[in-house]
Amino acid sequence: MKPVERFFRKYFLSMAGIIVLFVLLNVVLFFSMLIWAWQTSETPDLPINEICDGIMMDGEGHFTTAEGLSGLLEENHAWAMILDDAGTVIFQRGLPEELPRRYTTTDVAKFSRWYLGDYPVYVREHPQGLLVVGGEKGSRAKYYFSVNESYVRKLFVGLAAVFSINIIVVVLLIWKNTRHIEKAVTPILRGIETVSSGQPVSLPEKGELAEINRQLNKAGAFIAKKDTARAEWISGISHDVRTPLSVMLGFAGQLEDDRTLPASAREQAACIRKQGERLRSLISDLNLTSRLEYSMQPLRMKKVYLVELARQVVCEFLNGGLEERYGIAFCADQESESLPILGDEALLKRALGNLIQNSIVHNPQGCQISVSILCKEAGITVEVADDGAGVSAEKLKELTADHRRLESTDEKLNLRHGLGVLLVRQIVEAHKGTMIMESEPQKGFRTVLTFPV
Amino acid sequence: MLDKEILVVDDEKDLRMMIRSIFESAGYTQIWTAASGEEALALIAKKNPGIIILDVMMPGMDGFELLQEIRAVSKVPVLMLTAKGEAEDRFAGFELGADDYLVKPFLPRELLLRVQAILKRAYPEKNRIVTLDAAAVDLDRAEVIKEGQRIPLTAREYSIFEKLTENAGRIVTIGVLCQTLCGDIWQGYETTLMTHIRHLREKIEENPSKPVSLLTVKGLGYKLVVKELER
Repeated sequence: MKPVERFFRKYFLSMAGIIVLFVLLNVVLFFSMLIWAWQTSETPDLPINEICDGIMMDGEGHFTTAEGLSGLLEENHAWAMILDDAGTVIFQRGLPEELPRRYTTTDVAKFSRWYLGDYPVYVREHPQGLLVVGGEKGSRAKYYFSVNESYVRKLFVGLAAVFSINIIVVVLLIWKNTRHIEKAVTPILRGIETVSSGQPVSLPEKGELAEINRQLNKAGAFIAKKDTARAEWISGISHDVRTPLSVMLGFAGQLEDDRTLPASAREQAACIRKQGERLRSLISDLNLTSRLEYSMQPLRMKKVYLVELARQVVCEFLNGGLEERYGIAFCADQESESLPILGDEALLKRALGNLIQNSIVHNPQGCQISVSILCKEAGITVEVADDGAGVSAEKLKELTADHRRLESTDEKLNLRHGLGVLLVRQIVEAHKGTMIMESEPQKGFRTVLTFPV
Repeated sequence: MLDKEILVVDDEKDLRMMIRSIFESAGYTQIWTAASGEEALALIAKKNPGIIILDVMMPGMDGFELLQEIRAVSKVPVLMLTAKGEAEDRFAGFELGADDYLVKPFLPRELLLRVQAILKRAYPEKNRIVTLDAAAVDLDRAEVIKEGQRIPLTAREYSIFEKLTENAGRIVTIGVLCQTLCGDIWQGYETTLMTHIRHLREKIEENPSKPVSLLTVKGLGYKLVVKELER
């Protein structure tokens, strides 16, 4: 399930990335907005410093103003006045009529903090007294506040905490959501994997994705049904061929042994019998291989002693009248003799028989076959080797390739070399063993099966 | 043995003909055929056959049903023929009391050998004398007759010799021989077997260190070469 996990990890990370991006974007937008508001606000700040500098007192005690002062005030719709220590206006420019010309200390304290008759005013120390500059009514907001420093610090920490908690909560929610989806989707993906490997699938048909699970179950059942039908079909065909073939084999054998017939006729009968026997082994291989392919063959697992099993298989060949040009040598080591494996006796016999038969069939000129059973670290090895013609590297690759001929329908069912090797591999796999084939042209063929103990 | 009556039950006419021809050329003279279960039951009531060869798949009463009917009245040996090789079928046949089982397509020789083996088991003959190169063995009395002397065989030597005689000319594996000695758990008895074989050779061979009758097949087992099996 590595790809699925990777997918969900990526998905989660991308969601987290989206949040970071979102926050950054908001920060940028916020500051751009501030900058924009500041730059486009209609009333610029009152140039208090300039105004202050623009009002001077000459040596005789008269106020003089700088040249541009009136223009500056007008431009800003502002007015200015200077109060002496007693609160009397000793200088003014553009002071609105409605405003008083005398102020008490209370008045000064009030307007320096708030407004002076709705005019926003700013105060400034001037060599002659207190400079008061007033702006246009409603042109600016004026607040005054003073806060405790620890409160400000707490406020910022609090804001940062709120912000981080928000982020954490969002990330957790996303993580939970991702897990939820993963939980719902993973069985489906597993199911698909199972179906693609040809195994039966059964997913619980509940939850939000019940419909998909149901469909997947249906697909699995459909494939299984097709596989079963195919195996049944092969089984049926091979069944129907068995009786006619028995009759043919029987009569061909009779004719072959009939001493009253001319030699040539008996040879022909022998030929019919031999080909019939080939057909016979092909049919049973085909039937068994299709049953193993679709897991329809129940394995009868029990303790099997491979050495004795191999002896019996070899003896069957020797007792069955093996032709002179073939020889079978048998060897086994002491350890494997009394070491059982768990296996299906009939199938294992079949596998070994097929290997020996292959050596015989592919070396019509005769060969020496050796069967050895040895105890190795990985388990018990069964080696069947001959000193015959062998096969080319290309052919060996073809034989070793793990293609299942029965699996794909577009591949033609190539029975030129029989189903022998395929069947052996299936049997070995059913026993969780391994199979190695080695060969070189003119240097024989060697197959090693290893079965775990 | 050749005078035993053989009943072949199969719905396929050609197969019946073929089986009949196999046994006729092997020297059997009394061969009856039946095309259906009913016909077979009628014949069994009249003829009392020595062995029945029975096809499982037949229209009407199938081989298993017929076997049940037969077993209700007789213990006659039965060999089942079937087109299905599946183990389930085989076990069903044995459970109902079949003596052996052969999967089609079979080789004529295989059928013949199996029938002979069943007959041998079911109708043991008296005065069985096995003639070997240097001696003869009287199976009924478990004695070796060598140079006019009678040497008794021990029980274990006898069972080994009997197994080898049953398979005369064929290799019998070490495992199979050990099994006749001590049953299913035979691992570790290989040396015991070798001892018995040595004793047997001392009794039946002229030169036990160069055996000509009881041969060793390296790594596999033993083979008995018989000159003549008198009946």
